[in-house]
Amino acid sequence: MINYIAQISVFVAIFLLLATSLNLVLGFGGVFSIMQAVFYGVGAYAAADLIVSAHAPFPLDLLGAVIVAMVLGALVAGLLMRIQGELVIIATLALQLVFSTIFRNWTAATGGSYGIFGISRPTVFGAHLTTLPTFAFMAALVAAAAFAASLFIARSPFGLAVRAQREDAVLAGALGHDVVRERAIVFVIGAGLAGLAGALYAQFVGYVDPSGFDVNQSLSIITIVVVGGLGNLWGTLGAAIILTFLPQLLILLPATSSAAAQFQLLLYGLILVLVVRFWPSGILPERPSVRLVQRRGRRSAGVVQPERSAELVERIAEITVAGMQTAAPVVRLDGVSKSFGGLRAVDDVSFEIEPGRVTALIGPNGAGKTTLFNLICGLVRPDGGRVFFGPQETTRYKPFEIARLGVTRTFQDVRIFPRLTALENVVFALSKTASDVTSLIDRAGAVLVNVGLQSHADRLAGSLSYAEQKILMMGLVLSREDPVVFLDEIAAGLDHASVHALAGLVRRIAASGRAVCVVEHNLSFVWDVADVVYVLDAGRVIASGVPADIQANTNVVEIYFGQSGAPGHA
Amino acid sequence: MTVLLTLLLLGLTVGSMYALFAVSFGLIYNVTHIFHFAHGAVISAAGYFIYVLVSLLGWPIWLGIALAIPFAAALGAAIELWFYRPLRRRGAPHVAFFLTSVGILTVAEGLFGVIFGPGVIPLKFLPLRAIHLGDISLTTANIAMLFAWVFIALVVVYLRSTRSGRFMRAVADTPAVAASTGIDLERTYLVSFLLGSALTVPAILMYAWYQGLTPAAGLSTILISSAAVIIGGPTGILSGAIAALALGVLQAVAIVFLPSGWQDAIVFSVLFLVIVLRPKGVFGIALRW
Repeated sequence: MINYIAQISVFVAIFLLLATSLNLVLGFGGVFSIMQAVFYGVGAYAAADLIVSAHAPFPLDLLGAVIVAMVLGALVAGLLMRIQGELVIIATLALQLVFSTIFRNWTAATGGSYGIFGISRPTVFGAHLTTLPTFAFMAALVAAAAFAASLFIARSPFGLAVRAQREDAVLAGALGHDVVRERAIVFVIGAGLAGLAGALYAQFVGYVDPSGFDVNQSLSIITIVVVGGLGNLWGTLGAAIILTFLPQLLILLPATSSAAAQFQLLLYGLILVLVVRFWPSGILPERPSVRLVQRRGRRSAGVVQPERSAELVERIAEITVAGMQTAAPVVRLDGVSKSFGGLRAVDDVSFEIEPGRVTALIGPNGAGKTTLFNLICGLVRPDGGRVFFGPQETTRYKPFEIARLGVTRTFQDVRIFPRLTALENVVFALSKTASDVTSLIDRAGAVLVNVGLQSHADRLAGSLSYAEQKILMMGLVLSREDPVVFLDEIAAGLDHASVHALAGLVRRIAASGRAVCVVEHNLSFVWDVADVVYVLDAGRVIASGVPADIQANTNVVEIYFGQSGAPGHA
Repeated sequence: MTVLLTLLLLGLTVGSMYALFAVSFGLIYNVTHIFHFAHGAVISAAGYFIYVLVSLLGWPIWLGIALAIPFAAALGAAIELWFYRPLRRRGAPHVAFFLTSVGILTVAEGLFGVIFGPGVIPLKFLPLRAIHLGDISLTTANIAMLFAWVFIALVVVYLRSTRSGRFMRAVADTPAVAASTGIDLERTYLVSFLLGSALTVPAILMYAWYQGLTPAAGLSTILISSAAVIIGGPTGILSGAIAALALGVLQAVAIVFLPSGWQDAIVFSVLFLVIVLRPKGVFGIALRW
């Protein structure tokens, strides 16, 4: 009986490791990998070869398996991170099938379909773990340690960053995060954990053959993660226990072992379909990694909710105009061009955005304003010309590299991280300035108070109203104290009073020494805030100067309003 | 030389069958953008359905096939209506569709294994005889596979010349624009499930004629046909069919320079590399509907 319990415990430990590894990749990282059984298998074969051929002692056997799995994970990640979404599912499925074939046929390393036999259990600190209970104890300790480490990763700023890029990779990049690297790292960590599970499996069973590392195994692992809840490791723990015991009950039924295997497949498939259909959050839904500690009672009760967005703008100004450490550089464009197909969206544009001033880009729809923004911020690479931030050329920089130079940008639509809480959104946006989580939370809490969202701090940002989301976006972008600020149509859809207040905010941001650039359709807003105006039409700068000059420029008037006094002229 | 020619013909015939599978899958995938793995369940179900009616119950072959077509179509439509549509209404992510789909295939594979056993069941009513063309010998099943192109041609004609076919192409290209012109998306999805599922009947007949039925038949055919559709690219039906033909030839000829057993590795390495290096498929937009 004790042996039976020990045996099940080992399987719980193995499946916990596997499911935890996949939850980090899939639930936290949003990488839809269905090749986790490959890393499991690679770890198992590596441990088997190390023990049988090289007589590697504990813990080198486990360590070697983890390293081999991680190296493979890194190689795969290098290619896989180029693509996104559903193609990742198919690409990892393809790799799973490729490796299933390799496991079956590469006899020198895997023993082919027969597998590798005679894998001995390790000696740990002089104790031979030959009996089941002692080995189970070791396996449980290893799994517990790895699980604790995973919990730590999940709650760390890195875990928050991984979840944020899952929600919106472009926004995370604009906030200075190298999302490709973050995704690759979590993929490699997942590979390592699965490799560790494989090593335990090899030592436990004493032999490895390809049948344990096929597509069906990958699907079993996914089933555990989905049942437990994507993005919640405690749910994974519960699901690993339940789903390891459930098939055991089936095996107790009078059935041949191959029929039992069929039944298990059937059962897992059924559970997967039903859970996705009727219980998409699984046992435990995702939990925020940081919470606002509400020490002095419930603070929300005493705070007046700002009713009008104009007031909110004032409050945002308070947080933004505060300290700015570095002097703003001059942003300079030198003959920048960009074509999309035959369309010249931006055509030989040169201008400068100077610190302490508001530079406005105006022009009709399709004039190339937003493309120009994206060129400066690295989302689009120019075909010709150069971009400089101060003395530094940034023409070929990626968006996160430019963001790290101290550039903040807003997006035209509301962009936030919907499945992060409001607080996590702000913490993430601020996280480049401090690594100390507690001070970050304090500062993020202060930002939320300023924008009037403190009572929603622990709510998912996606559940906030549209107006609240827009306020949150402004708050999180502008609380970063960056010396260069790009604002893309922030006045759109606001009432007159708010636009006026917003103009005040933009002026104060510039007055604090920052370089501000706005793209705007609302011309009265532009005349209010701008020091310099550039007028774009069909990708070219057709006029520039102080607002008064532009207003008097007949050319500009013509572009916006058609030729005045000549109605019907086409 | 004869060997190579035989392998080439073998690859071309088997590849033609793959092409029909690919078209049946591509009709659904390109229109709905659901990676409809459960198509494999429909494929197997259609095969076993004919086996039960004709081989076990002794019904005439034509009747078995005639009943299998509405059966398969209804099965595909049921999956859409009962599983995918609720997920779509909920705004579920891609992965939810995929997991549901894979779950259905897994359950079907398990069920067929339990009911019909894990072994190979040949369809005895379709005689598998050798046919000699000079030095080259093929089977009757291989010749039958060439008829795949008749079905594929019918599908192409349907897509180009009928109203609902044009709707499907429009929805496949830009669903939002199609919907704004008044095309009923859900209805178009349903039509693509009905049609794609019905097409599995001739395809699984060719397959079972050639190598018999197993519970894993659905999985192995859906893997290769989905690979072909992805490799071909999302812009048409023919691109997937041609990629399937190429994969069939590649698989057959690969035996010359690699031990058997490695074919899967080749096919799916190609798939992986195409996805990573050319996510829009090898044909790009050169080969459209």
